[in-house]
Amino acid sequence: MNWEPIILTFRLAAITTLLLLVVSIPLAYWLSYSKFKGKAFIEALVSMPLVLPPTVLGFYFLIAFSPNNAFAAWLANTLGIQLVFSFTGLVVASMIYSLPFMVQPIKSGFSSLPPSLKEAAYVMGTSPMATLRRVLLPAIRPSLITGAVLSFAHTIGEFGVVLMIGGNIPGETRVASIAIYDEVEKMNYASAESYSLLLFAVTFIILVSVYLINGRKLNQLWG
Amino acid sequence: MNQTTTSLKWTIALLLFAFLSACKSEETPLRISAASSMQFVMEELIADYEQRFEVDCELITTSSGKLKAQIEMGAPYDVFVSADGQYTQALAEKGKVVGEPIPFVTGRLAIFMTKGLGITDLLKGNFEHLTMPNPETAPYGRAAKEYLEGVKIYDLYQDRIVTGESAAQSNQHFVSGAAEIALLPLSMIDAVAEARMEAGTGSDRDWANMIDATFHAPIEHSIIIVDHQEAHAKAPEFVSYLQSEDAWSILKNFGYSRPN
Repeated sequence: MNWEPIILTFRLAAITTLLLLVVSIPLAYWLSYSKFKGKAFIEALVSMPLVLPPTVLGFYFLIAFSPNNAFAAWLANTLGIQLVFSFTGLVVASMIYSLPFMVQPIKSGFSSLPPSLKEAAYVMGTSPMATLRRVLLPAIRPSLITGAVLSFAHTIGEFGVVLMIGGNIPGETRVASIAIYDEVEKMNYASAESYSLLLFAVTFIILVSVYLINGRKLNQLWG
Repeated sequence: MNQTTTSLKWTIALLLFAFLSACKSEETPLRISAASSMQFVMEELIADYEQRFEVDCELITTSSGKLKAQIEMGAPYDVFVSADGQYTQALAEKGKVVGEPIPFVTGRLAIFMTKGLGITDLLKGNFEHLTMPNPETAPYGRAAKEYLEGVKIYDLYQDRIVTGESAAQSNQHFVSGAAEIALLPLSMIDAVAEARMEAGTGSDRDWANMIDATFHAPIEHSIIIVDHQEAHAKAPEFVSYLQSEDAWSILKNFGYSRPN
């Protein structure tokens, strides 16, 4: 059995989750505390990947990433970054695809905190940045973990978008879900079965261990 | 926070970094994209080529129409073996091709029937599902449609005809037993029969036959070297191998004939 698609899948999921954490914390912070009138539109936009079929997203990505697109052509010519049929492209697409899974839990985490927590820190002269880092984020740690796990798992399960913009290139865009599809197409059912079983087992173990340690041992570990 | 947890944190961070920064050090292999109807023959051809010339190859297969669309969008394939000369011609017109499209082989359509069904049953509609590749994206699908139109049942039994997005997907409908009749590339019937036996759907009442070539336009395969930024130096060598007698001895076993 070829391990490449499995390793590629976990690399994609890990990179996507890390980058999403960086992007989603400020976004979720803004969504929960801002009084901006057009906030509903931004919130709706963030949640769109939840309801849109992956084919719609994949189709838009294909158009946006295509070398016929001015921005994509500029990226390719000046920075040498090709988004379509490349690992980088999969990361960008996965980030948008899994965005609501990261933003929603973090946002509800922020919203569930009593305002007095933030206010007390401000009164004691703590800057907003330090308050976020030392008071708010530690307080919503379970939400951060939930967001990270959901995004990670959701990226592993990604199929439609990758199928449309990935092009099934071994070591670059042939992630596990695509490899399974490919093996079924080739009528190699035994191979498809071993990939599927492995993916099932690994993701199940990840989820179980997270649910087991979430809120308990993990808090001590990262404390 | 004590020392053990700090060092544990660092270990995790380091492991994560090593995992994420792992990059491919070896050379990019020769990427060959081919119509899914050719997947079995291409696997043999590539194995033979790799052995003779010691070049590392990768095979990517799906319907010719999709591969053509991907190449238009800049997919980094070095060689494209299309089951349809129109696709390679269209790519040549868009400047995506090095040199000219090269005529390769002519493919034939086959009909595969199960449960002791015969052609009369097909004509009379004594079947529940017939599967064929999508005529819009798969050349064998177009040939299958022309055949069914020729025997005047395409419109008649439209509700019983299911299409797969490629020849390979159509095969799955058939191997799983969901469809009792399949129109498929002749080059795939051995693999399909074998898969049906493995899946437990095959029986000695199954039979397959070539469709008379007069029923459909010839399925002319064509090869191109794709023009892209990181073109592989070995692409021309592989293309000339495909036209060699060594390759032909493999191709003819799969029922292909020489180009017209």
